[in-house]
Amino acid sequence: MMVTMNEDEQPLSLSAEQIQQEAMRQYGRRLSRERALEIADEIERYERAIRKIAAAQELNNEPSGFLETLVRLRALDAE
Amino acid sequence: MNTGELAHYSLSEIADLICNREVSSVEATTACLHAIASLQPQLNCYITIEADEALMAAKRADSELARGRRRGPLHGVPVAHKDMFYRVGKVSTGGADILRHYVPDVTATVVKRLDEGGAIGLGNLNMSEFAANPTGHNVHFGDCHNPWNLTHITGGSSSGAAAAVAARTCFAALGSDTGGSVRVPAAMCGVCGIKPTYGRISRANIMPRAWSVDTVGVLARTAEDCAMVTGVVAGHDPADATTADVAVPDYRALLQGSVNGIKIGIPADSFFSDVDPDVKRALDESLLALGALGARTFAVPLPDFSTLAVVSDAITKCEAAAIHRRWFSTRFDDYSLFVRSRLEAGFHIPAACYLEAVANRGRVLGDFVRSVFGMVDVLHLPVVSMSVPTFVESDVNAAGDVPALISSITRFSRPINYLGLPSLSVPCGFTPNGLPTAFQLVGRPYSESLLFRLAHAYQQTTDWHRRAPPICEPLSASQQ
Repeated sequence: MMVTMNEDEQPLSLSAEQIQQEAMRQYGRRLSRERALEIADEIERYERAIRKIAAAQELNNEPSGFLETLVRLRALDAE
Repeated sequence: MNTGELAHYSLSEIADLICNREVSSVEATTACLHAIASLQPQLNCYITIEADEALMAAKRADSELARGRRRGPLHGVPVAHKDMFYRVGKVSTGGADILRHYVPDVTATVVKRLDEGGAIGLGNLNMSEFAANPTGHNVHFGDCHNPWNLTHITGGSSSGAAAAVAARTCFAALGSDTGGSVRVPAAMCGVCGIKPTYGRISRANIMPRAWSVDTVGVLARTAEDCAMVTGVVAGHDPADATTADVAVPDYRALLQGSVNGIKIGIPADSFFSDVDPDVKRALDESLLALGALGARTFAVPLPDFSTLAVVSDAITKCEAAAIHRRWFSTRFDDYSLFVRSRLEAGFHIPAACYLEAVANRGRVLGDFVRSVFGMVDVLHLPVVSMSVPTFVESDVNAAGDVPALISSITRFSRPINYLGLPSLSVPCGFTPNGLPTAFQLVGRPYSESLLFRLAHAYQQTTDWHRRAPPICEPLSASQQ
């Protein structure tokens, strides 16, 4: 089953405050607001890129199939 | 022949000389140790040098050969590896202060395979901290310097591996490539570097950077050398479930095939919009040389590489966060500021995003292979878009947009890690600052033999791979 998503859809952005709270919870650091905003921008960039490649995601029970795909598509003279 | 001259032979040449007992392993090992002693103070390629053990192993190799026993194709050949391949009882630092005294109780499968193939280990090579920096800077063990110009970076993270091979202190080195960490330093130091197909070489018992994209690779001066070492270390390993049970061909034997008619894909001009014109000129000249060998070039449409690079980086960041979670809480200040900054975003990327990036990998690979390798046999791409920067230009504390410069270093290499495809970096000239540049050949899964064959043919008609940095002892007239 093919699921089509709008790749221009807004990513699930994290706020600076959420990032500050997570930094404290996960590794006990009090991040400045400036640093938290930098990280938020970085996360948004990742989300946008992933949204693009996931635009034609197929829903099935095979989470990746990556290794199998590598072997299936290998060069014919590999062996 | 003096010891300095011996170190200039390629791995395949020295292996054959040792096999024929024209040169002993002790002589070859002494030549490398001499070069290490001479250049280590300037280059800082090695974190650990095991001179006594190497000489003992070389003597053993010579006596075995005298009795008619040859362990394998690398019998008696001195090599080294990035300081993240574990050997039981030996410190393995990962280039990190946190692991400065770490002594593993296991040995990496690839290290065992080098031993079984008869190679002589010279020591452990400098690297970026936790393999997490494409420039090669290391505040804990000191920067490794580019043999072509000491004020320039080597590239990373396999910084010591590339510099050590380029400087003729070893005949080959093992590195690892998560976003370009074999190909980038190979390109910047003027040697060959193979990042094989994901699953081609075992990662069992090496320090992880990001398990979905980590790939063990080989750096050596020629494609033939890379082929020989890859043939020794590649193959299925029950200790690494990601290794595929695909037979390993005799890569060296397959080098001799014709390259006439091989179809080489090149990207559209827009792909090169911010590639340094001097790098582009060298790439174009390499295509002319390949064309003269009978290869044919075709323009191919490529997917958006910048998107693939960002997705690959997201996976790396998430997995690195999982690997470093404990130390991030307890030893935060023992990371360099740069590595800490690179790791930090991984703690905040939503799990759903990471899983989407991983879940789509097989489909994106399939689309890429069908659309690109349905038209051509290999892709010819830049490795690095710019001429090799200096330490000052790439220092994170320097003025200017250094983070952008650093991320642009891997923009042509990192997408290939997401796709898991094999890629071979091949030196193809120098930019006006006197530093090397290179192209990469990318093939369909498990097509390493084709990449080696094409690069080997190229190296039969060019001499970039034979040029040694001036810092090395000079060649004799007979070797030039």
